Amino acid sequence: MTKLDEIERLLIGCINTTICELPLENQFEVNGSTLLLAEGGSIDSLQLVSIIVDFEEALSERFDIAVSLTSDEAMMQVESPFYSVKTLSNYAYKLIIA
Amino acid sequence: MNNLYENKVVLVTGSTKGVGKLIAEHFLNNGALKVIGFARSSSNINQSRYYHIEVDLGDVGSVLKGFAAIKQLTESIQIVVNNAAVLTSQYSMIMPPAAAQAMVNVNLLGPFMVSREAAKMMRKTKWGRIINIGSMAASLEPIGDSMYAACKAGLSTLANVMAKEYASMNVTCNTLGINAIETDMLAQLPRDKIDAIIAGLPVPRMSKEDDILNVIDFFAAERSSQITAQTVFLGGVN
Repeated sequence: MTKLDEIERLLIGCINTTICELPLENQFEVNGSTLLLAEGGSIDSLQLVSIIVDFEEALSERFDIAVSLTSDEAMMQVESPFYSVKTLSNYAYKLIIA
Repeated sequence: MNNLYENKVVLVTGSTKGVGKLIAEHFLNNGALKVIGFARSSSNINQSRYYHIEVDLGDVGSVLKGFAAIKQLTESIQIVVNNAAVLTSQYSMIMPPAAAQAMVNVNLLGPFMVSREAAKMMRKTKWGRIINIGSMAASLEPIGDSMYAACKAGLSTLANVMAKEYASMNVTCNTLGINAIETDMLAQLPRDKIDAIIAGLPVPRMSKEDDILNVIDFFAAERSSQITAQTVFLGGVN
């Protein structure tokens, strides 16, 4: 498993933690193409905050590095890192290997 | 010992003296599992359930390091009291900018950082109480306290917005606006000015320790889950 795959798996775990708390009818399966903060996405902004907090913590525990996914740099990206599982995983990967 | 706060882990900022020390000791005397104190200086609270961490509340990095230290002590926090504050009372035209900046950093940015980091811990157990120590200055807006009063007014706003953000986590955020109580901070202000303000209050006396602890207990109570985004002033200030 590559580092990027591992990061994506961590993120999917964090998303699952959040959606587990939703009513059964609102739960959904998560994979790399799941949309986050995008039109047609199934996550609201407060749920995304929760996922980001969990994901930052998981990255910090796994890679022993403090990662901030909501820095000014993240907000200024042409393609929002928060668009989908794939884009957020890629952005976290860039921060980890930097 | 009363067990009102049995199994609760409490964080009190500015816990080395004055109101902060009073509140920290109150939680200890009422059975809190752990009371963690944040302050720049060392503490003289000698209690096995008290854990002191030296933190400069006006420094974001220092607050984050403080929370890293907390995570070595406990996985969760239930109650936070944002009490630490600094005060320089001076006409705005001659207020040293550094003193004004220090008030923003300690009195506003500090509680913001502490609340947000604590909320991250509270969300795991879906229960929390964040209590800010405000001041009658926010309402009375006394001459010489422009920055202090603005920060304390901002503290209520901070709590009110966070109350909305954290409601789904069963975390309440409230502010206690205290009036004058004998502390080192009060000693910095002209006594005649304080006496004149107190004389004009509906309840014209300084606060007593129990006046403060009564509201702290109310905000922190299990039964107060619907009490959030509220500011309670002592002495009839509104």
